[in-house]
Amino acid sequence: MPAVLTVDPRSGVPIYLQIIEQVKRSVALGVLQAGEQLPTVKQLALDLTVNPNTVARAYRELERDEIIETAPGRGSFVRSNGSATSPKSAAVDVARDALDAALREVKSVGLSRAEVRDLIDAAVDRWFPEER
Amino acid sequence: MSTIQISHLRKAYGGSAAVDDLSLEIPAGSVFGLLGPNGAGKTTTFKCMLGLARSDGGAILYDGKPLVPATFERIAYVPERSVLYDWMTVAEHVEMIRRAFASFVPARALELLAQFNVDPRKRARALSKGMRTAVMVAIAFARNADVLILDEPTSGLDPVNQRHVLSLIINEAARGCSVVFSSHQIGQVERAAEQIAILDHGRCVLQGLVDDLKADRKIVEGILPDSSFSLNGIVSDPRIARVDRVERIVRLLVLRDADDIAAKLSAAGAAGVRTVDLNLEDIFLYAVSPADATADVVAAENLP
Amino acid sequence: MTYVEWLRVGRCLKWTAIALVACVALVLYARFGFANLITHEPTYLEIHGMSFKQFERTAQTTHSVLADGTKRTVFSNVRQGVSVTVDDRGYWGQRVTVVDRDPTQTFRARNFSFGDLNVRRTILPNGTLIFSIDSSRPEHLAYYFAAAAFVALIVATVLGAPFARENEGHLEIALTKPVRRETLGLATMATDVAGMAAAFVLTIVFFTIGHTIFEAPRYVFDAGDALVLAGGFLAAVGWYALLCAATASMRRAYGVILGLSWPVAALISIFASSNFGASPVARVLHAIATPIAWVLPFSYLHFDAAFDVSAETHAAGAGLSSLQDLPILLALVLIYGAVAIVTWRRVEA
Repeated sequence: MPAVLTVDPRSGVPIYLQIIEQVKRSVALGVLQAGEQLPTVKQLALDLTVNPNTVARAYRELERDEIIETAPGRGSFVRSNGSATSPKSAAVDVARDALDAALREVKSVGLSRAEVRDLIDAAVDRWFPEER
Repeated sequence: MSTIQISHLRKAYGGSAAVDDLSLEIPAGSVFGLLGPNGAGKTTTFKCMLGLARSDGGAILYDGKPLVPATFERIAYVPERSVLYDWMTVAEHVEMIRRAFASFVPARALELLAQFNVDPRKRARALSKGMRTAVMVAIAFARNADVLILDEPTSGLDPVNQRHVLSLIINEAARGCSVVFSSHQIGQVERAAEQIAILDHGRCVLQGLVDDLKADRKIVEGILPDSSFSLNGIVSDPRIARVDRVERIVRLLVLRDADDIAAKLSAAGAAGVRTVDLNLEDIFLYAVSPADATADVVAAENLP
Repeated sequence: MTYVEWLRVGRCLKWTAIALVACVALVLYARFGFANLITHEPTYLEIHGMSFKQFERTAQTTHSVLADGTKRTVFSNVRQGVSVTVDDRGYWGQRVTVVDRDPTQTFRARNFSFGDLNVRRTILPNGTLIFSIDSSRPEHLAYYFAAAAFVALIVATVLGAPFARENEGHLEIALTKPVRRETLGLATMATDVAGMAAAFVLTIVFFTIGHTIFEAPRYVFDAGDALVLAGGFLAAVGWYALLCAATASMRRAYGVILGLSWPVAALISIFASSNFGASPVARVLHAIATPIAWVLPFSYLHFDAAFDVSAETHAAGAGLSSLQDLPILLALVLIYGAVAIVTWRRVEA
């Protein structure tokens, strides 16, 4: 699991958000399986060389989002049931964030809603040709 | 675990204030990064915290109590410059600390010295700047202290050992130790610190959680229809800390709700409005540098 | 708490011991390297215008051994009325007695002692001159104490700036220990004083060794010796405390103070103790130096006293003028020590 996570502290994105995003992505891609144990806060902090409280904050948010659960004294685990934790819903989370970021950029260049929708349709056709 | 409260600290050297009305609260078990340009008052603040310099006003409390000699049993300090005794060996320095502090673990210090590749038999005068730093760091991190005050704890160290020091800081923080450190390398503060304060001319110009500052502070930029376009309706917003305008391009430093401000800027007629993330270095530079001379409007009074 | 100061003291004592060992080595070399030059005849005597060798040829020589094993040699010239008796007790000393019934010059009675040496000139009512050189007398320990005080004074000067040495970039270590500054300052000074005491003892030990190489040491200790012991050491401690106080707030260049302290103190002591004629300049200098000397522990030590002592008060090679110097010195130690600590307490890193 640690090998999957990397953070870029120099980026403008808060480190705890980077951790959340990567855990979600790992769950979405099945790299992290349901029931799999996450490193302890201290271990992950040392592995990433980031502040332990920052890691703890990410874990708290992941718990609140029902991605992971923490058993006192045993550690944190990827949740095996619950609506938000299926790989599918984690994937939707990741995809939504990516689209949001892209559309924010798209909007700034001042195209109309219809023009943007055309562009998106064309892009979807290009990226998913087999499902036409 | 120890909370450190600094309230209204003032320290002047020969009439000019090195620290001016500085108030900080360093929560127990957090890593607190102190940033600031040279001469901003970081080292003076540390010296006042340790009673090495007498403050001219204000109070410094450890867990609500003022500093007394017994407090030093819980504080480990790495000074900015080498304070080792040139004529003494590294091992003699370790022995000196062992005799002074009950909770010091000499074996841990020797282990850390080995990790930094410092030969304890060497005299301090034979050590490079980085190795001297390493000696002070090794001694401080073997102290089992509750409070670590680290003034440039990575100066002179190579990147591998710099990273090692950061790991040590994180390790101590995970143990529940309160760490206050300063570094010129903002990237290190960005990694290891949970909270930061930025000092400038002896005053605290910005304080907060690194991640919150990054999440809230953004640059919103857009292109105005013409260079004389009025932005009066927007720049009075208290969430905008600074406005830089160059010709038709406007750049707003936004303290929070960047998306909302971006929407307002678009609605006002600006084209190509986008939001730019700021890393700690950007945040630092915005906090300590005056607005561009080319800027039309400076809403510096909106700074927190 | 004062580990660093102990290390400094240790280094200083190491060099003191090296210097003393070198002195003893020189003494050993002198004793055995020039053994053949050491004669048991008083060749330094001059009798009626003759060297001793010339006199010896005119004299009748008799050898005998006394009951205690002393080898007695008598050189007698009846015609000139001169007899020289040499009682050689070997390692235990030698006594030379010259009896001159018809001295060619008039002499005044004189008595001079230094260490185990006593030189006495007596004139009997009938004009007979008795001149004796006795190198087997018990020796007052005051000589050793004076030498030890001198060495302690050097050590005091070497160690004299403990606070300035900390101020020179080490306060971040020195003053972040869990101990009060006053306690730290006192302990530091106590450490140095202990070092001075060790140097004091070391000097006595090495001087005894050096002496023993030449002849059997025999010592006496009385109240006068005790005064030299107490006064000599106290003066050195007072000098140390003064240097501490003078340098307590310095961060650099304290070496200049230490280096100049001796010539300045010596000049003040000299101007205070003697009057160089009636010239206005000399009188002004004397008037200025005298009160300064009162507060200068250095000037309480007199190393010049050795050569004008009378027979009755035993010869103190150095020491204090009088007993009432002791409380003054003690007061100076306390005042300078307190000034040093109060000054250092205010120093900021």
